Amino acid sequence: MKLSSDQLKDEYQRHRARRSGGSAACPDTDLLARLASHDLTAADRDRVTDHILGCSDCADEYRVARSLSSWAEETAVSIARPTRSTTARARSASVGVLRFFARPLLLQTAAALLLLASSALIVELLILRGDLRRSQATLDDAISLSQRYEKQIAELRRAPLQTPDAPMPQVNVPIIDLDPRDSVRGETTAPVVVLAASATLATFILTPGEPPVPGEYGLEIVDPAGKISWRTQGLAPGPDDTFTIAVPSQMLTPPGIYHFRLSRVSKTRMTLLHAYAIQVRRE
Amino acid sequence: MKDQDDPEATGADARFAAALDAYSDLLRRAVSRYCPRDSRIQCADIEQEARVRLWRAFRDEREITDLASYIYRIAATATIDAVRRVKARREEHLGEEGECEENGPGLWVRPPKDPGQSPERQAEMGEVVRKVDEALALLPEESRRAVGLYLQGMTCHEAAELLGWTEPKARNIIYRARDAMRRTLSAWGIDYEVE
Repeated sequence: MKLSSDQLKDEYQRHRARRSGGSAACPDTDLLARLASHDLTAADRDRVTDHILGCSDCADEYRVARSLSSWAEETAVSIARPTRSTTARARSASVGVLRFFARPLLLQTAAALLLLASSALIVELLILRGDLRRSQATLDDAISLSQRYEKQIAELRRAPLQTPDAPMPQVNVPIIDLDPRDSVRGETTAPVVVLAASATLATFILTPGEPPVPGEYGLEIVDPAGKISWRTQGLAPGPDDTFTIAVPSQMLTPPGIYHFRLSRVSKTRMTLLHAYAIQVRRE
Repeated sequence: MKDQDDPEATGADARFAAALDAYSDLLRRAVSRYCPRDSRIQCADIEQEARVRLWRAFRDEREITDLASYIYRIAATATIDAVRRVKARREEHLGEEGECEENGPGLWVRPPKDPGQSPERQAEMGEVVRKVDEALALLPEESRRAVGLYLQGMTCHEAAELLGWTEPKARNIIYRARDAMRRTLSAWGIDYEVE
């Protein structure tokens, strides 16, 4: 048997027509329209295509729908073509703006943007509130501290001022006698002066070799490094012909060999009389 | 309703009328092309119903975001419904050939290509189609679907869209599968010429 390609197709399609029992469950018209406009998922497209393979009527209808797509686009353009007067165009412009914002998608987008913006503002507000709370707490602390200081200042003003410089009794003050022999001893045999940690003063009694003549005397203290750490004039002998000096223990720091140099002061010169050596130690 | 004195409304009406006329032409062609069998049937009412549906779509177009898509959907469904109704009416009027007149604005369904086909010829054609189905069954799944759409009258481009392929892929598979099927049918005593 010989057939043309068209004859074969015609017979094939005729045997798959609805009337010939091609299919009883054809897809509805909307599904076919969406198939032709590529508006179906891949799964739905495959399902309808499978049906079309066995139903020549639906194949025809698919082609009908497909042939309308270009016409629909041209028609939409034609209908939407603006042919209005200037006044009408101006009037419709405001309507157009309203329509623009009345579109559901735009409304949803605008709502989403507003929601995002308000969310950001709420977060910002919460952060600012937190900062404000922290600042308030800091301010409260500062006020409390200020009040405490004010109280302390008031109490201090009421109480007598007691400072280390104020004349206070000193107890357990060591008293060391130095005689002229100490001035000739070697440093290794110098008298040892042990200062307690709590001692703030040490009193030295310098005895000259012969009774001092009336007049002015001077004294220098030389530290273990050989430097003069303190010097004075106006020293005068006591009733028992000795010289007395109270030295802050801080001046005898660090421990080591110190020298007290006693001089006779005249108008033009100082004459060394004795140099007393002591060996300072700390408890 | 639009004011007749409003030039904007008048212009829109004119465009709508032109679009409807174009649609009516498309509808008539679709029906005459895809409903050619059996008896002649006047279906002006079907066309009118499709026009009314489309008119409503035009009238409501101000509320539509994608106008082209909406018009397409309405026109496609209205046309497919019209084709289905014409075919259904053809079933009802089968055998009443000559009852409807050709003159007037109505639509006419083309008569069958070969109304005088003998029962023997029909049986022979039935056997041919059965063997075509058997030959198709021998093909791989992809090839079977592609050549099946070809036999349903689809172009390579249409088959590609339905199968989710590119057009070159569809064309390649259709040609190869069609040759394989032709060789099989030839071996079974059925020869057909490929255009």
